Amino acid sequence: MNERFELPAELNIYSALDTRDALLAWIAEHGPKGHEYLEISARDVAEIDGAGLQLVASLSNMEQAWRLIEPSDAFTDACRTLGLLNWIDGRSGKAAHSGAV
Amino acid sequence: MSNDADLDFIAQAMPAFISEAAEQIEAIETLLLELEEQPDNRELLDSLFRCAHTVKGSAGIFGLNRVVEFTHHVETLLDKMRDGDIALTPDISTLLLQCNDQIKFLVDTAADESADTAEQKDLRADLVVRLRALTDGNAQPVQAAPAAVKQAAGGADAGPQVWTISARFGPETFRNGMDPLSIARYLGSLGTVVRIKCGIDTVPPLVNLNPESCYLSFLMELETSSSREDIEGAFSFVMDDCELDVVAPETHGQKLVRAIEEMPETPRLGDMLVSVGAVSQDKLKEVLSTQQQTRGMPVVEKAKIGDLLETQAGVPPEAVAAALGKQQKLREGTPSEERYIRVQADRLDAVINLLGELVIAGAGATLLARESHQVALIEANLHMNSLIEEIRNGTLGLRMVPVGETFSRFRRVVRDTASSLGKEVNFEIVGGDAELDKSMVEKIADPLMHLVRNSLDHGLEPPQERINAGKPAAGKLVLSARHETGAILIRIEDDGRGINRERVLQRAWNRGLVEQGVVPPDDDINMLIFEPGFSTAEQVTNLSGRGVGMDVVRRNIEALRGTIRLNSNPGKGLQVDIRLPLTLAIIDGFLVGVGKSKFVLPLESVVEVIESGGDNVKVDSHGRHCVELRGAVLPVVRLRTLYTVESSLPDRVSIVVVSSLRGKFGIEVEVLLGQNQTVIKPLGRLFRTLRGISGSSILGSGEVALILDVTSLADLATGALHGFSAAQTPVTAAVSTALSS
Amino acid sequence: MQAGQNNTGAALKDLGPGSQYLTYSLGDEVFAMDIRSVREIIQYGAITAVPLMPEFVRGVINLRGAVVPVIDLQSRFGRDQAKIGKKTCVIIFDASQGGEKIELGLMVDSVSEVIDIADAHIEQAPQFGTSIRRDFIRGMGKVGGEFIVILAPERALDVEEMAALAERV
Repeated sequence: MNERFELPAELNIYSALDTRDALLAWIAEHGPKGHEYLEISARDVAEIDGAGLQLVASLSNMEQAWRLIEPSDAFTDACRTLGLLNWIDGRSGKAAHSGAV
Repeated sequence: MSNDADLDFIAQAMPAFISEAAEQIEAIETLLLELEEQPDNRELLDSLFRCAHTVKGSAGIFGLNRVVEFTHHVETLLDKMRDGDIALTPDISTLLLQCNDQIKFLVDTAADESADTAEQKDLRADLVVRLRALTDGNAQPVQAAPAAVKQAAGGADAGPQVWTISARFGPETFRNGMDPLSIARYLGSLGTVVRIKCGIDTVPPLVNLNPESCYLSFLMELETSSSREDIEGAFSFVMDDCELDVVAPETHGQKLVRAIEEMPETPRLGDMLVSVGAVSQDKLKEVLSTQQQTRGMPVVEKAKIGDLLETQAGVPPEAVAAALGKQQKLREGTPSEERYIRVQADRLDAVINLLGELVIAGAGATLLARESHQVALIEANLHMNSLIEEIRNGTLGLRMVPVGETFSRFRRVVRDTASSLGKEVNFEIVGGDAELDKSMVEKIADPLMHLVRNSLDHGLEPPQERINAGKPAAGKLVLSARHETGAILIRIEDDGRGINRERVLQRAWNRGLVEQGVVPPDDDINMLIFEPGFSTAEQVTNLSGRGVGMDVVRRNIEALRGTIRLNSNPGKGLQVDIRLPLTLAIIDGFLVGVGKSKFVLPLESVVEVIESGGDNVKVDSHGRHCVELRGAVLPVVRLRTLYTVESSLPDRVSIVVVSSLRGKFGIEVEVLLGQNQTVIKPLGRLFRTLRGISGSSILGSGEVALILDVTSLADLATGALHGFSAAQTPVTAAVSTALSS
Repeated sequence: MQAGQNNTGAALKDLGPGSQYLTYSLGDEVFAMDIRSVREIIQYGAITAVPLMPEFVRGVINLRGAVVPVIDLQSRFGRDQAKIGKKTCVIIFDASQGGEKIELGLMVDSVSEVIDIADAHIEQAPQFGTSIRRDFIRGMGKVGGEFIVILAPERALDVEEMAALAERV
């Protein structure tokens, strides 16, 4: 069972710095364990802005594969507005693209 | 969101919003007033709608619900008006002006909810009720959610189009308080987002990411009837930091138009169209030969070829119109765009001051050059001085602004004042593009306002009285500006009662301004209203002044070295003429010497010079000095006597004949020192009551010369001379006596 | 803290706050003026008389491109006009009022030194004994064995008051 990272309820410019640090720490801890992909959950996200989406976008550019799960309505709506729905479809980061299962 | 963060964000971005919104609100007022003159003008209605729309949109991006909600109702009404469903009436006009004031209030207090008083809320609610009554309850319900407000499809002629919007946001975007997400959301509210893609490739990996910098961009296809301005408006607060490209799919005709506008000048219509591919060379030949056959007929060639191109060659009409327009512009030689640069006023003033120093330095150099008797040096100096004069003229021109801008401000005041007085007024502005130095324009506004209010208050009669007098019910008030040589003439003219001569005289007698029983000439009687002490408390109504009388008006105008004259036609109207010199800074002067002192006469008032021995100046029966000039008697002022200049009596004197508002007279001086350009240095408050002298000037030699004011010099001379009977100059003598007691 | 120091500037520190003053003479009398408003001191030179002004307005001078009025202080005090001597100078000082920047020149017979006078050493102007209007005097400074009249330029050289006087000429 994969550990999951719960994105905070407030995912915006005010929490961006802290969230980034927490994410980095979490990835550093759980990444090397050899999971197929890391699960990032957006279940709790209630408030989100461009900075918050950008944080999540940044994940797409890392080696470690990841998958977005349980997106909240707020999160989905924001993604749709800004054109990031491919995350919602369950696509993961680079590693997944490169063909790794 | 934490409250502190909220306030920070608002504090940062709010000023930009308020300043932009303020511009729109000002524009709305101007447009509304213009609309009253032309209620059917579709362009004005469109512009009005767009302004309100812009304010609402920006407020939406900031989540300022009160502004959005209220403005929405106003916008709905404006929309119906531009569609032609509702026509403008004076009541609607007043309502809209009041609504605009409310919008201003809402914008100003946008950051501070507590400033919204119960009184304002009630007023607002009332306005909304009246707005909705007009729009028949067809008002669209408004979602008060931040950022997104559904729009009714605008009446744009082109119908919905698909625009391609690509935006790359700059790194400071978040720090400036903006958010690509809300911008995208707002754009979505303008129509339908066909597709959108967010560019995230430029976002660095988490470990390198600065979470507060923005690396986002997006590409969007938006189907909307909104205009380009509306779309670009969504980005107005990130404009500085964002790379934006808004592309509309073009029809064929539009592509051609764009190509025509961008091409370098080609005079011939046909050639223009061929080179943009609107028509082939062969087709053009055909058209030209058709035209040739009709040569004999007396029609305008241009239109003909245009028509032929459209009908025969199938060139899209808009392309022909663009080509014709470009031809027209080439003929007129006007640039297709007027370009302006904003300049800080202080910097301009600093340059003008330096220029003043340059003029003085140039004069000094010229003196030295002359003394050197070196021809080459003298010529070089002349050349330099002529260049300095050109620069001077150009630079002074930079500070000139059209008076029309100030005049337009009066429209609203006239409208409201007339209405509150129950009078009908047709207010006209003529010659608004006459230009005046910026600082003078600002200083003239108050006196003008006072005079305008005076006309409204005392001059123009109520409608019934006018009808009884055989005049049209609506009074006429004209504010005009016109250039004369070296000066500008501003005239306030009304067709009201004029000045009541008897009443003025009576009051002057009562107040001791004129000796009881003495009847001065009509012009002088009219000018009595400017004497301090003339207005009483009853005169100074709420409208005409806050204890500000006509004497202050005259003083303000004289402080600008201007003059004010009245021309009254009792029962028919009043004309107030204000003459102002075009600039305060530099004048062309004529230098004269008396004893060790030097004086400067404004060149424009010098008529001629009589070199005469002192013998020609005679004393007439009244004790006035005068001289005979071509059969006429010319009064002469002796500066030496008047100003008690200490000097030994000279052998020769000269008389400079000057023209003033009191007529021509001569000034006796001892030395003529020729023309010079002088920078006017005001003498300062210490000398504010000094008559006859309007300022000082530093000569090339470093000496200070006093600049004479010919009109008040004439007054001074008349008042100072003894043996002048009351019948000759009653007012001047009586006034100065009264004032000095 | 009052040790027996002499009352010259050197004792300033011990006596509490004070200010620096420029001293100058009119005839036999010595006056002082707060140095903070003094801009510069120039020799009396070419002056342009301005007609129809009260006697105490000697005229205007050209100070590096600015036209500055020069007031004859003797005359302003109601005495006869000052005679021009070798040491006659003009003190240019800042007479700004109500936000408007004004510079005036003060014509005096000679200028001496700048001294410190402690506030404690300034007494109120006496009820009688001076020929100068009492409100022109800020106080009497005790320096050495003498009294120095400390001028109140904002009153003595009040532009409004002087302009009003000009009206009556």
